[in-house]
Amino acid sequence: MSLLETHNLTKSFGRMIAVDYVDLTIADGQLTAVIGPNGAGKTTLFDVITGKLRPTTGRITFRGQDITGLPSHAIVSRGMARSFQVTNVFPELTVTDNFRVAVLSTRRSAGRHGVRGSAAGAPAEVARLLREMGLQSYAELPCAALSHADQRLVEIGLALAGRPHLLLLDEPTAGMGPVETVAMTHLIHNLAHHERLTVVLTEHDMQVVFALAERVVVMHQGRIIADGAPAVVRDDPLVRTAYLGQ
Amino acid sequence: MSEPVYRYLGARGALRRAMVGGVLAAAVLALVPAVVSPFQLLFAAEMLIQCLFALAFNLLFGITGLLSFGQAAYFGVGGYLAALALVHGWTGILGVLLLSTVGAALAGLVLGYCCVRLNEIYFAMLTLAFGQMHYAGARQWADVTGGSDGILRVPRPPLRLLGLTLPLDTGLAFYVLVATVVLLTTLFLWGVATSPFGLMLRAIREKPERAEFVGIPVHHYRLAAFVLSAACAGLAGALVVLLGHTATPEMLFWTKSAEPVIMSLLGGAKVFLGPALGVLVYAWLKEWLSSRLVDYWMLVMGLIVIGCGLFFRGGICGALAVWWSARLAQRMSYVSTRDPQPDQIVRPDDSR
Amino acid sequence: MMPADSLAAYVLNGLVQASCLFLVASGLTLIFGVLGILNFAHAALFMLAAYLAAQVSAWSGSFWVALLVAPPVLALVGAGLEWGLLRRVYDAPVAYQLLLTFGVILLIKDLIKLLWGTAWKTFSEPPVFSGTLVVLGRPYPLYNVAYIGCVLLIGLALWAFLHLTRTGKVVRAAAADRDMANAVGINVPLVYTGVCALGTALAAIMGVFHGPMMNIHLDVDQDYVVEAFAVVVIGGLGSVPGALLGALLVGMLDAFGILIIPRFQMAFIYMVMAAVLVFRPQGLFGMRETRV
Repeated sequence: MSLLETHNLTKSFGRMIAVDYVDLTIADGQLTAVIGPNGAGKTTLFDVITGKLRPTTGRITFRGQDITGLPSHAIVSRGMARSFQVTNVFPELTVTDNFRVAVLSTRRSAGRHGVRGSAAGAPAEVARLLREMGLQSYAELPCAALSHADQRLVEIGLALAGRPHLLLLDEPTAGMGPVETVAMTHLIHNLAHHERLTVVLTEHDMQVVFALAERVVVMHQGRIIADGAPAVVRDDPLVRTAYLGQ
Repeated sequence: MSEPVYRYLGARGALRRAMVGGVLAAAVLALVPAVVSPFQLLFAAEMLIQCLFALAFNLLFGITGLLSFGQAAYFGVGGYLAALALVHGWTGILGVLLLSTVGAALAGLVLGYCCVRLNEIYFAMLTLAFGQMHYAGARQWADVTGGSDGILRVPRPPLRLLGLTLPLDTGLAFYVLVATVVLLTTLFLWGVATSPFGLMLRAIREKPERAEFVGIPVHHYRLAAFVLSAACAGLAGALVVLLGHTATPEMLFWTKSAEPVIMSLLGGAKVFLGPALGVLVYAWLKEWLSSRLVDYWMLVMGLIVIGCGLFFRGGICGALAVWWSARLAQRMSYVSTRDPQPDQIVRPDDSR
Repeated sequence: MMPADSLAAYVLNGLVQASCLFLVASGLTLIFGVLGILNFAHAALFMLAAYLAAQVSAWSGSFWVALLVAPPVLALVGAGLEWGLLRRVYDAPVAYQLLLTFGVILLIKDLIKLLWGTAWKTFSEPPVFSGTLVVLGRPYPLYNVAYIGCVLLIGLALWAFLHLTRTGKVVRAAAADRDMANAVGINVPLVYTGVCALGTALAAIMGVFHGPMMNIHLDVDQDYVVEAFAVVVIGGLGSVPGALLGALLVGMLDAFGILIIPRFQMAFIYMVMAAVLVFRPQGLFGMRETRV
């Protein structure tokens, strides 16, 4: 069964159509990359799927339930998580508290929507996240004091806290140098294969895309113009045109 | 880093602090009657009530990040409800206090529902509008509220508890009542602030959007904080009416709403007891300045307030924290670039 | 239905109140639109102008001299305030703006107390405006009508400035998008200081005209502080035509409210303000982007 399905999903702002009748299906366990030139509508698509924006038309189904029009917190508590392109952590709270917020909040709704909860208590969950992100030594520092790359790690940690079924990563390596990008790539790979998370990410860094993705979806002007294995998509003439311009 | 960093204490840590703090506070409060005259005790009681009002406000401002310019509305609703009940023959003080608290909470529920969906400036303006609406209502609905004179000669019946009747007409007795109520309510607010709920409120303060995406229903939590804040403000209003035997429209004017804002910023909004400190320091300063510089005290106070806004954004507590963390600076060394840690990398020769 | 002459008197009263509100609110809305600051001390500045005008009028014996002196002086005060203080809280949370402007209110009140004491002041209108006008058979103070006329002229001048002069267009550009204006090379700090000076001058004009109509005392600003905010909200933060319409609406409500809803007319104005914020936060002509 597919984890996420969108049917005729459209989002327009007045006369500007950002997402144009997108039909997307994400299967359980897949690692999908959504790519496309700037303004293709990738972030808007994420925004609509996660409830930050209401779709103009269309439906979204997640784990068999219709989530169209639900507020973000309701969608998140059903097992979807998202990280942001611009780092969006809680700056004055410590790293530990950042994770604590996420863990406590998702545990509140765990079980209600069949979200996988863990048997361990909240402190153990927080410790696990700190370990997984490698942030133990900075646990008691306020997030604002961390480097950009480490803040991105907190960002991803926040998304992981609820043990989501589906993880949407919006440009996870944005603003990172080469060493950090490699580390992030390994981390995402680890999450997808060892934790068995379904991951959908948007990226501009093609090396990351081709290192990670099993499936690549290309968007251009709000529409999906290509969808398939990375090697096939890379050679698609439509994709070339979209990137190199008309 | 110019603000004190909040660290979640957990249930046991918070409880320990509450017990220690509560005992210390109770001891200090108990000593006050020994060192001041009965007349000054009433002044002390008024200070405690203002502290409660400021702490209630700060639940909304310092912890949840919502600046309300209209908390005086709930202060006044509580006060007028108490006045009306007492003037119409209610004799149960505890019942009156409960009535004020619940009445103010209901007002907060209805009005807060409209407010919490708006962002910073519009939220502030709407609370201002609601506050002035209440003021106007109190001033003009003369049949019920006594108009611009307010409700006068509000009785202060004795406290009936567990079969005992304790008269409250002496300064000492009333002070003990106020001190007990304020202390208990403060402990309750502390419990709220240090609970997981309080932690989530702080997250909402920092980044409401991110909080939403971590699964927190932001509007609902904000409304809950609003209602709690309004309830405690109403309780403070009832106590003030009992203190002064009057309820006047000035209790609802926007300058009354501005007071807890100023006090919280002066004392430090990010520290739980900061607003209380602000109330005490402001009162002491005002007393001291107006006795020394009879004609210039507002000038100096204005300069102090401006100075605080420009240079001491964290208030007194913030300034103390900066001084303290400067001393600890050496212990916190942080390297800004890191190599990836071994346990999170999947080696290239692993499965792929 | 009310007789026409009484109606005319009410309408005129409403227009007078609207004129006062427009002068205060237009400055406030400009300052918010361009600087993004809610200046709670704005009404206190008008009060300072009123006192100053009373003083100048006492020295010179002339209303017109006061009108010539007070607004420029207050414009300087406003500019100084912006340059020295408000500049530092542009991007700070609203709470610090309140704190700072509250401190300024304290300063101004004490300054007034020191210079002029707590006695009520008053001064008389210029001889050319004294006397009464007969409106539909009823006498009405000529001064009030003249005041309405003057404010109309000022409103027109303000509109002309903002829409027809280059400086005015710069101001409107800066109000619409501060960062863009900076990027295009407009000297934004200078614009800010200028706008603050202009806004304060408008409030000062109100202070001068206010004197002959009502007594001047230390609490005279209280009547206007929140009502001015109501006008600004209803008209739209940052919009001068909005301030005009809002002022008309609130002024008329002030005048006619006593007839229609005698016990709640004061509350009604704030109910309108609240309703605007709930259903249409940007007001009638709002310029600032609102993100709810």
